[in-house]
Amino acid sequence: MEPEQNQNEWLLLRSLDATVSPAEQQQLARAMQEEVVLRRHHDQYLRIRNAIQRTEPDTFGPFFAERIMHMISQRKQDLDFQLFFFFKKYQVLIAGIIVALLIVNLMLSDEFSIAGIFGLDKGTDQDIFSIDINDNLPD
Amino acid sequence: MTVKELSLSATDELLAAAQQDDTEAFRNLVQHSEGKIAAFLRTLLGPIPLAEDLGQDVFLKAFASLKRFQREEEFQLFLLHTAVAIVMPVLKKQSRREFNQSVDPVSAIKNADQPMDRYEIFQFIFNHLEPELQVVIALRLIEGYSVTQMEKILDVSKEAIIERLALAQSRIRYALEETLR
Repeated sequence: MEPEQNQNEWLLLRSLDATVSPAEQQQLARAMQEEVVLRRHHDQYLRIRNAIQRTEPDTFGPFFAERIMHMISQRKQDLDFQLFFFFKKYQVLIAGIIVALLIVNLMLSDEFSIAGIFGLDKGTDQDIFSIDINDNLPD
Repeated sequence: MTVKELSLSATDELLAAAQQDDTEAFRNLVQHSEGKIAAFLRTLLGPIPLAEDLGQDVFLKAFASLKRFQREEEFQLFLLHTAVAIVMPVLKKQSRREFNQSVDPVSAIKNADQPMDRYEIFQFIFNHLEPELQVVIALRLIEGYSVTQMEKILDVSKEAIIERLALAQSRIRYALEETLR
């Protein structure tokens, strides 16, 4: 059920938490003189406000800050771990690509050798001696 | 002087140190501020483990946003702003549950098996207010924040805060008057 409320009560409540204009102050003062109910409500509001104000400090108990710091360091470790695995994925992928390329080289090469794996063309003595040095010299 | 009673300049220095990855400074900041967050969350939820869990979330979020604060006061308001954002869905869920049960606090108090004292009656009425009204009562009347501070904490206009406060107080007064009659 909603409480009944008149304009003056609303003004009274506003005046408890905000600055009201001089005209509103006058209206409120007049209403407080004339309305017994409004005066009673005013007293009730003040009593409620005094009664519920915090007087004792509160706390989550001892070692709350320590628990927070522990959680932060735990999260940092988790993050480092995640970052490590995030990059680890790419490391494995790159290593896989390199191995695949080496296998392709090996399959394309004629012989099973280190040079074949790395795609190095192993020149024979005949190849070396067949190079015409004079072709590369300036006239 | 304990960490909880530090001056404003001292807490500003703590914030600056914490922003430079000084974990001891952040620990002192937590110690300095946890009482305010504990008071606010426990007022709204009661002394239950969930209040502490939410309190931990508040400080973890604040740690993640540490670099954005210029002054310690901003850090304090951010803590409360985050606490409101975190607790609101919980209060709304509770409120929906009670709405479904359509509990009228005045008749519930009058028909209670055990008679309640004034504090229990207030608590019962407070718990049956809408979450938005509970939050303004907790911040302004229980914890004593100014309406200007509440504007920053709630991200709501001064007029809306005053209106919510007035509505909440009139409901509490009416319910108390009816039940204590």
